[in-house]
Amino acid sequence: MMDNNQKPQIICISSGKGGVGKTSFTINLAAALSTKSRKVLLIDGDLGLANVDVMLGLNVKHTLQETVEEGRDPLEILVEIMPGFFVLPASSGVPEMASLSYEEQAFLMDSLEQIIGNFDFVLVDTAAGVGESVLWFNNWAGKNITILSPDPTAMTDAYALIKIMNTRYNKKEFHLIINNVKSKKEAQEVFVNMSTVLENFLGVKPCYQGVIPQDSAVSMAVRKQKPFIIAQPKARASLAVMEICNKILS
Amino acid sequence: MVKVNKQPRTKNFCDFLQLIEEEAARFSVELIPIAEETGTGPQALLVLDSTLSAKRKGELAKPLVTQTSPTTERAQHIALPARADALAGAEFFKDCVHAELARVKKSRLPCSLLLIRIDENNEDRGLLNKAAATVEIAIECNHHLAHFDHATLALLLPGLNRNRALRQACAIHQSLSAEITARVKIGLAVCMARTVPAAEEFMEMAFNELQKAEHEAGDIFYSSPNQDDDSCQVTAEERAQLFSFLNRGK
Repeated sequence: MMDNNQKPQIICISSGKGGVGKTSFTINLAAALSTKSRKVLLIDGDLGLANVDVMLGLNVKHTLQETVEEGRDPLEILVEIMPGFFVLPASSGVPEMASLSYEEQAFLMDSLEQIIGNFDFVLVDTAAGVGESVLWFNNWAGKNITILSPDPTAMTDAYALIKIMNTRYNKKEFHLIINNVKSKKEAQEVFVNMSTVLENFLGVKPCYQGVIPQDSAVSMAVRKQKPFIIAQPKARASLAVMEICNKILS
Repeated sequence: MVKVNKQPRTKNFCDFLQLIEEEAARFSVELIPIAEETGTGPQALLVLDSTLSAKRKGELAKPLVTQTSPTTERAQHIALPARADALAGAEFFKDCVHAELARVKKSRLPCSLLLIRIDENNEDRGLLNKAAATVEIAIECNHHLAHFDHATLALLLPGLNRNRALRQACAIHQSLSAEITARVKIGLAVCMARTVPAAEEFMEMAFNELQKAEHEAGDIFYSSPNQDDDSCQVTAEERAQLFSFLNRGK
């Protein structure tokens, strides 16, 4: 593969609450970046209840579980989705993988560190909640994207996650994506509100990374097990993801 | 358990053991090579978590000792079970504290230290040993119990925050009060990941708490308001502000 001495940008995508659109967004962002000739690795960070493979219609033979348990080289697990877009799938229905010991975490991180130099971007789609793996993937990443939607539970959970990362891991920079909004006005209200609370209580000034509107293309693409930016590139959600992609590249 | 990153291309078993030793150097583990009867080379490597109590290490290593002649040099090499019957001394305990504090920095989990004083004026060593036996029943295998001074036991509680450590202290105090007639005082110090002191400083913190317990009415003492749990609980005020924009339209 490529020279693995370069440093990729590691982006962790989390939300706190489940069902906010982390996996869908991460897959589409990875696809978008790869269409811009970037080499992207998507790590399914939901180690015990993986979904990336399902959303992409993959039938995977090997998962990160084998890296942790047998020392399998992650390069042997990689699945190429499209030119420049690779996935490291995780296992589903394996509770042991959701609660790795410190040594197992360190070993997994070491294994990942050995291959990420092959890529321009590493995207981590974390599990929901604030479990250990969510925290150490967020701590590992150079850029933290938090997805939230305009409902109180999603906002509270996103805030809680940011609070933990700020309080315990001293992270200060957070990028917010407001998903599933009816209008740009609604997205702006959510962002301003969240920003105000973050600044007032934590002294954190978040960055506005973008907004993804409500769009039936998203649910249709999930059913077709394809990224929506590929299935319906002109859809509003696709254009929004491309805009976020361009912002990341700029 | 220690895992070796790559499939080792070793010429012999010694090389393989060396690889494991190199990998294990990154963790707080104790390596005990076990040699062949002929003394020609190591046959196995016993890898033990260095923060385990001497008692636990003894339990783990015992089957190996019985398989080897106790008179051989190799058996003496793994003769650490000899320490198992007695409680660990202050120096060994200090090493445990040091290792545990290093682990707090990595795992971000707290740890607590109890100093349990059994009637300072009582010179009867048997009383302290009886107390130690009582405490040992109440603790878990990853807790470390040791002699601190002639009248005091030290108990290191990895992973326990203030509330859990206080509950443990209460349970121990209750057990001791039922078993021995002497006066029991307990001082508690808690180490949180955001400020990890040196081992000596941590032990001094616990000692100061014990001194306060000696002079106060309560039997268990914990002060240091700055050492609250690093709770990330989302407060009512934060929630109220988070949801404020939702209520604007009502």
